[in-house]
Amino acid sequence: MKSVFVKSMQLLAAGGVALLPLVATSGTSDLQYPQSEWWAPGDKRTFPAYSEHANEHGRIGIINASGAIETDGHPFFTPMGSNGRACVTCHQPGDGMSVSVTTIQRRWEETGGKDPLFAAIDGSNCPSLPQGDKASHSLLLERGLFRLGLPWPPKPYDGEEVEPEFSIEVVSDPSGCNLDPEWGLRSDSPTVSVFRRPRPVINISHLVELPHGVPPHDKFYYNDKTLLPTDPETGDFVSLQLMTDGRGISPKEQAKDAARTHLQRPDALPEQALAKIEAFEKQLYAGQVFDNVGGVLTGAGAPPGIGPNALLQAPPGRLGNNPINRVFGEFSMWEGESGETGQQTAFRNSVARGARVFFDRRFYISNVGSYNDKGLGNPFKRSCGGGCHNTTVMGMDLAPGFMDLGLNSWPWQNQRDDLPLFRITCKADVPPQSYLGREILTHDPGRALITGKCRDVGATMTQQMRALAGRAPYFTNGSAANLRELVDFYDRRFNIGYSEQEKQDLVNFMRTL
Amino acid sequence: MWVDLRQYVAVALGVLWSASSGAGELLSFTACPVARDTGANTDLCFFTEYQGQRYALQGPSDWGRPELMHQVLVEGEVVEGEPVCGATVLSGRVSVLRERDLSCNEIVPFDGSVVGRARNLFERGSQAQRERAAGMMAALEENPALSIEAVIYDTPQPEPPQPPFTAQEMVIHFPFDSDRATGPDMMQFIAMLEYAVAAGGTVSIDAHQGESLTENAGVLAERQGMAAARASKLERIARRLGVPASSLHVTWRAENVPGDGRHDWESRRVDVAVIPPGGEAP
Repeated sequence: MKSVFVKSMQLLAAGGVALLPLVATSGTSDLQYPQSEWWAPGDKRTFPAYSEHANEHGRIGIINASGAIETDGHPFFTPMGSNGRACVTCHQPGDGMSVSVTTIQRRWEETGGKDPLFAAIDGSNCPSLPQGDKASHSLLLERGLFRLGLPWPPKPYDGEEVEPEFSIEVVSDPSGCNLDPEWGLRSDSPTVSVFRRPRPVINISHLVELPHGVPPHDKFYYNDKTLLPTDPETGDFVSLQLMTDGRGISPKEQAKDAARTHLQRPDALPEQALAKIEAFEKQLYAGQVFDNVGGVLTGAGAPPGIGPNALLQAPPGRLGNNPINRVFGEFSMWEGESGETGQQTAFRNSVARGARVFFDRRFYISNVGSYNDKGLGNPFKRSCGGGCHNTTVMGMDLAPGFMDLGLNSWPWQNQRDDLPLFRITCKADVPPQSYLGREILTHDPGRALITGKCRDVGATMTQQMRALAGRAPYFTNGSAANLRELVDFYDRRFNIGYSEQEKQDLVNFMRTL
Repeated sequence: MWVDLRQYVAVALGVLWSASSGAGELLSFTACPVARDTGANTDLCFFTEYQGQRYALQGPSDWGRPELMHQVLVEGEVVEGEPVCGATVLSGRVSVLRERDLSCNEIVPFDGSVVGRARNLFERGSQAQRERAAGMMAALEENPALSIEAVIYDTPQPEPPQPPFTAQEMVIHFPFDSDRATGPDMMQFIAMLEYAVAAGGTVSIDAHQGESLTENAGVLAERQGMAAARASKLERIARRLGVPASSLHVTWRAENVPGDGRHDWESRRVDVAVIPPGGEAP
């Protein structure tokens, strides 16, 4: 293994995070890992204080703010369940602490599908399928999707019983799992199987911070003005930003859930392990630092919001949709002659234009369940940054933002022939889903599988926009294979009418985050 | 039967209402909202057309703006003043009706006749915060790192309530068929709960639901159980914020308050009172 310490991180370790020293990024580190680097569970190595990891577009930088740690015996890197996986299996440093389809496919080729990554429980379309058959893992191999089995009816949530406002029926299921006699909706343990991407374990300290300066939403859920859930351990309100459907309300709760399901651990993780996982996750800051075309992205003269230092420095939980923050900060310094070569300058100019499109170009955000109907009005005319991706340096929705963007439910979704399709029928005496009514076709009921509410059908939590370059495909259901497909989805869904130039500028902008 | 009669009354009132549109005129009707584009850099505004008149659709902060795909219930009084969104201004309330109406789908493109004003969050801050933001804006070119610094701040925590404690009260209003209160109302409610806890007093929550007599859609009655839902929601909040069950008195009226077409929105409410030990209800 390479040497493990960067000088500036010695300052960090000595001074603590409170000093907020700038970490030497921008390709100056000798801790650069190739794109093919696989961090296997149980490996004995050092997770450095600062490291860079190659991806398709350049390199991501990761600050490990409390200093280097040894992975040997660390619960994040150690198999803690029965199937040989660890947290790191699906949260690879090289993939922005998520796992990309490129990595998944390479891993299949390297191991003949024997890696614990492909565990039957959720690394295949259904545990009952023949596991040696590549087709049984098609959703993971083609879209990066893991199976998530959620109990139906929902378990009690936030201390209260959940009485579902709707019934759920399987219309079709290519995975077979929802119709499976052992694993399906009509099994002895009725289960709804949906398929989702793993969220990146980076910049968690921003995700868990309650909103500042927008009272009473440091205590209240914006949509219906109920109180936010509280952490069972601390009693503090929680932000609900961590997971797609909000079921794991703190890093520890998420780790407990993951250990039971993804790691197939029969008993609870020890408290000490949970504490170590949470502490590790909350001190990781990551963002792109080098672009293959744009060159070094950080340092003097670069936009201050790029790279992991920006995440380390910037105050968490702030609404960034204002003329100063512009969510990811200023990019105007890249509007003129800003590169060492013509190609580099052209790329940086494109990124700066993309930042303007992201923040300034308004469009009609319409018919988004759990969004337009939370008081904002339908339509709501905002830009990407002024609307749903408004949190300073992170780009998630501070609200917090469960919403049915159109990724899961018909007619907006690109109707997917690889995913299960459910028919949701809401009771007559409950408020309907605001724009889809009481009978809804959806590939993933989303938040409604936790709350049981008709109005939540199809709603999922907005995501942070950091380290995008290394973790394709995008969206919770992996429907965008690359950033261009992501932009195309928005353009089509909201009839924005981006020009070809604007689309490319947005792609370039996002790949530098 | 009496409901039908009132519908006839409503039609008769509608004739009277439509005869004039002067200040002080009371209106109660349902209609599709229309969205109007007010320029490239501003939000939409909403209005509706009724009996040949255009009325602006607006309300208190966080009340809930109109939604296409849904009709609105408009209950208001015509007030003097400059047009808003190119339409006559009403005081009162606008409620989004939760059942879908796909015919409500009109957006008026920007034509320059109504120009919106770009807003930003700094306007909400104190004078000192606004001045600091202006200073940061001016210094951005020289020091772009300022662009990722905090410019939105927490509001200062109020001083803990001190004796002598007195009785407090507030009324929380709700949109039709909804138990969602506004953010500002919730902030005031939290402050009352904190006051009650500090005073060791009791909190009384009395919830209502109501009907609206409209001139074009007859009587609209809120769903059964709305008052209970409003009461239960506020009760849960009070309990979680530290008010002991023994200090909470929660009641609700299951029957709708009859509507008469005059300020019916005021029936959709919860009355909250804090009574300090030994005190009397306000």
